[in-house]
Amino acid sequence: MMQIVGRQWWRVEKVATSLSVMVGLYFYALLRVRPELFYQQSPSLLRLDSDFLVPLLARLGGAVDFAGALLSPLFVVGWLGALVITVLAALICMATRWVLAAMSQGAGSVLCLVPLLPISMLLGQYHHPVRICAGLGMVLGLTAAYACIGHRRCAERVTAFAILSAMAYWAIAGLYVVFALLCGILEWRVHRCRWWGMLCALSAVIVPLVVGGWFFSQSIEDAYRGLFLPRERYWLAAPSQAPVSWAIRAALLLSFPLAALAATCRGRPGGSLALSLEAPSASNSSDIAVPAAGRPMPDLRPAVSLAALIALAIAADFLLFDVTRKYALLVASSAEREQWTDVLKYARRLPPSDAWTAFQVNRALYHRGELLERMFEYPQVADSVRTLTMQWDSVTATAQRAPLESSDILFELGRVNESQHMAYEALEIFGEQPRILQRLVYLHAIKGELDAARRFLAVLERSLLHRDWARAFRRLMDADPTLSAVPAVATRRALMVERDFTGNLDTETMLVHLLDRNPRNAMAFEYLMAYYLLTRQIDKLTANLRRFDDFGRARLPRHCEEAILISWGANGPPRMDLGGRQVRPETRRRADEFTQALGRVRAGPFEAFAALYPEFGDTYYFFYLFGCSDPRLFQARPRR
Amino acid sequence: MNRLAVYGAASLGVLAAGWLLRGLGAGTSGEMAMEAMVHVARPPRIEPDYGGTVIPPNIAPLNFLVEEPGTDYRVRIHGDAGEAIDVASRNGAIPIPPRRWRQLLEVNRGGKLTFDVCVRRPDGQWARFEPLASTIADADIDRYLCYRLIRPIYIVRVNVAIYQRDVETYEESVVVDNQSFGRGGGCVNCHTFAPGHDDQMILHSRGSGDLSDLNGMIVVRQGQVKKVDSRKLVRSAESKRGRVTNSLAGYVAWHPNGQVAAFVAGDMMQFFHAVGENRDVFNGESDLALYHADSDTVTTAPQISRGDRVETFPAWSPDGQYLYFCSTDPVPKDRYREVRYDLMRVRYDADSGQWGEVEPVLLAKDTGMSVVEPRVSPDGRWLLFCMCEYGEFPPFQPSSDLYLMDLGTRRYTRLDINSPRSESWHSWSSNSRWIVFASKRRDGIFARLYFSYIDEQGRAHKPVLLPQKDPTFYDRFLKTYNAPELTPSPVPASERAIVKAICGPAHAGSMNSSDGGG
Repeated sequence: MMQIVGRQWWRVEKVATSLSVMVGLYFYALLRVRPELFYQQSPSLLRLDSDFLVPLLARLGGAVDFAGALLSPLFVVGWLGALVITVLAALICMATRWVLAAMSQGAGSVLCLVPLLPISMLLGQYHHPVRICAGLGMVLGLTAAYACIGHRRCAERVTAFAILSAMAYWAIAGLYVVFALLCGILEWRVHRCRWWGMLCALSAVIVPLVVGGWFFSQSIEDAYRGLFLPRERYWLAAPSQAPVSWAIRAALLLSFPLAALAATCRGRPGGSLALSLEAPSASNSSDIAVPAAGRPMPDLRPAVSLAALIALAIAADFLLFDVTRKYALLVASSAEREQWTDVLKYARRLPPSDAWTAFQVNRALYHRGELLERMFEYPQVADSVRTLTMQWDSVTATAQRAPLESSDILFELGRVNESQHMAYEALEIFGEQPRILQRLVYLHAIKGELDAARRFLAVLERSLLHRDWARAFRRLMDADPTLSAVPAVATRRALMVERDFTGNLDTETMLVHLLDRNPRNAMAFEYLMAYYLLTRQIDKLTANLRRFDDFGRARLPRHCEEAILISWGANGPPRMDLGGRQVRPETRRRADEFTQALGRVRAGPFEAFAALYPEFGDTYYFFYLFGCSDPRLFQARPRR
Repeated sequence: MNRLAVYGAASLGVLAAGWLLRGLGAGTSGEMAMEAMVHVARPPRIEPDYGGTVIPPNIAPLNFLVEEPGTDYRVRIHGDAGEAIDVASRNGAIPIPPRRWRQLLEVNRGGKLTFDVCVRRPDGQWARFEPLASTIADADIDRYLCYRLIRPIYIVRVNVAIYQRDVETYEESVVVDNQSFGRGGGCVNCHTFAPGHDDQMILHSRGSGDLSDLNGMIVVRQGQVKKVDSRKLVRSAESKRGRVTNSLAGYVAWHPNGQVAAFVAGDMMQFFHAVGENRDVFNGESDLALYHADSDTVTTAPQISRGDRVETFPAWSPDGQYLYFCSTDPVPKDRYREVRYDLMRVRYDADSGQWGEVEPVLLAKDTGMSVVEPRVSPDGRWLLFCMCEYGEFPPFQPSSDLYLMDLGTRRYTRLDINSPRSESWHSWSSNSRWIVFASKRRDGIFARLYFSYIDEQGRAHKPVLLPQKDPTFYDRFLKTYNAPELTPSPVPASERAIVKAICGPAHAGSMNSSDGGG
């Protein structure tokens, strides 16, 4: 009786333990990792139509692609993404348990939770979990199916392995390697069929090469697709620490064969690894729980193992969690949602060396009306024009490196053709992502190319997540082909240039042309002034001060006042038309203080930077003098 | 519990059977009370619009969508002979059974094909529309269509692939896909077939930077696939002219003898506009040359590689005696709007390798437009070409239209099949009765392929959109078709062989060979 009660209690405890671990994983994903950031990495359409899904299934690794296509869009909602992660992880643990049970005639409660450790580490690396987890779930399911065959005749096992191999390689492509290794271990260690085990393991190499490489004419990389770290085209989706991600992925994939080996060591001399991590199996738990003396003894090993696992997970998070990538994704996500305060908040957590971060900061500052007031509170580097418009020296380089961001800023500025160019580059590089398709809808609508806009709407209408937006836009378009009531269309149309230009479009030319077209293009104007500030062309800045009249601004922004004072200092008495505006006394006072403080510094530039930065680091005087507004960036400069 | 499960399963079974029977009912013509029908005095709106077209007798079923509001759709397709095809649908999509379609077209070859469309309106009333009529041509179209499918590419090329479509079915297969290179890029283009030589084709692969080893001309001939670098095959000093030793080959045309291919060695560059159509192409300098397949050599001649002219778009007459091409005076890039190509031709004796004098065929000064992409019909009677406002790249020119010249009289006409948007990339069927061309008429961005029947008088008939199994396919297909080429036989090389050649080293050619017909 006591044995039965003990066994049932142990089962309840086991279920409760597993459940609490899963709940822990759910909240770790939801609160720490934030699943919606995976959607930010690779936003996708949620399409259920056959012409989208069937081609996925028709290719190698199709089942994994299918699962990815269905589940990845759910990450748009944080809690749903966390749920997907938890369910996939739970399925992996359950399947691991089945497989290990087949390997060792019993199953452990903690050993089967071990895959959660590398999975949580992958999450911390912002490595999209869906495909790898879905793939591993399939691997384990197929392995369990093979294990179900048991000790049948060799011919039957060979046939079953061949059939399951065909299914596995079609479904999971490169992850077939794990399946083959697990089957090999099963044959070798459990069925004691060494030669067949060896052949199963060898098929891990042979099948992808022969079927994928030779039969389907795939490259080696494609033949093993899914096994290695996927090649990501969007830099925020690629791991920032590739070797770490590689190692974690390898650990995750290897954990199953290793766990299988460990499980098969149960009860064998030297099989200590399994025993050290294992809880008692259902068959022998009573023997362990009730020792010979007949007095129930609490078995602490599962609890200790679990505690060790949790401790390892915490340590791994502490050591390996990619905080930088998280905040970069938060910046990108906030920028896309136009939550500009959050952009500034998260950007402060990022290293200052990144032009992309400065670009997003400048954009956020503009939208908050603070670009010319506070831009030097944030890391800026002289002549780093890329931080304004994400334009590289050549359009090719821009297209390859930052088509999305470039399209965003060009769209906001009103450079419709250039934004369209970059949106099409993004379409080619990243595929049919909803944000790209929506951008193209807007761009073609602005240009009056409604038939083209409808083409992209038709795709969006097929997505469960975007069909409402697409249908609403189509209704607007049908009701009023000019779309004059749609602000994003009407305002851009008023900004877009009307004079053709086919030369080299540098940032200054681009902004000047926009202002020629519409002198009230506030963004173009502020960016032009910011450009002159960054490039320290004060003469050009002061020559454009009259443009403030177009915006009815009663006073000058702080950084412009600071630039004016520098100009006065350099060129003698002021003969400048400020349109009746004055440089504010506090700006003059700080200029005087800066001059005095500078006069007191009797050291080299690095020491001067350090001495002046705390008080004047946010001023244009400081930036103008040092060409940099951040000590870390300044320190990184070569010392001369 | 078990009883509940049984009841549940039984209910589901009944529902499934009902649904199945309903579906079966929908799949047959059913009974319609003809006398109760409302007659609508216009043809129905269908998409794609196949009404009034001339269709190839060997085309795949022209599935379409009835774009009339309704809850039930019945379509009867019939001709003067053969068994009519009845199709019913609940969503307006009309899938035509392929076997019966083929039979119907075959027995009505040269005759009429009629589509009777009835729609049950939302109020339950059946409406019968005026029938749609098409004509079935008596001449087949070449069975295979080879084309490139790409996104509207500007600079970056992630996925570029050439496909082959069997126009008698919906089957599409990959000829070569740059994803197969495993290099994350590369480009394939300018696939060209040799008329009368089914075992020959040429295509080009391109790569820049780390992928520059992919560059080359892929020659498929006599069962072999090899990559050649045309720049390195110039043996004679007199052929080392202009761009021939500097630029990669493009725009190829096989001579009818299958031994020589004319190509362009040019310096084309893409540039971008701030207003209107974004993309444009400028050809600063280019020359024509010949690739001699037997000797693996490249030659040129002053007639086709003048230093004071930019030559491009070679096309042979079917007798091989003339090379048609386009040429213009070179201008600086900032005067790109002044670039207008003339259509010229030059006599060529393939046996001796001798060139005649260049003679004008159609001059830009007479047309006021740029004449590009000449293609001579296989019977030698017609010359199909594009004219556009300026420049040499009609796909980016909304003004580009198709024109047909009678080579006997040199009279040319703008074809009625043009649209306000770009028409370009045309090719002839081997019987000279059909052309295929790419048109952006649907949306101005994505080119789609159309077949048009050219009758004895040189009239082009209302074109037929390349049919797809799903009639709404083009609505959401975000790739553009270009460079369609009709061929009677399939591509003579496997993708594996082509990829192997592209990724391998360029064939060095035979150093001991002669000049190859100089």
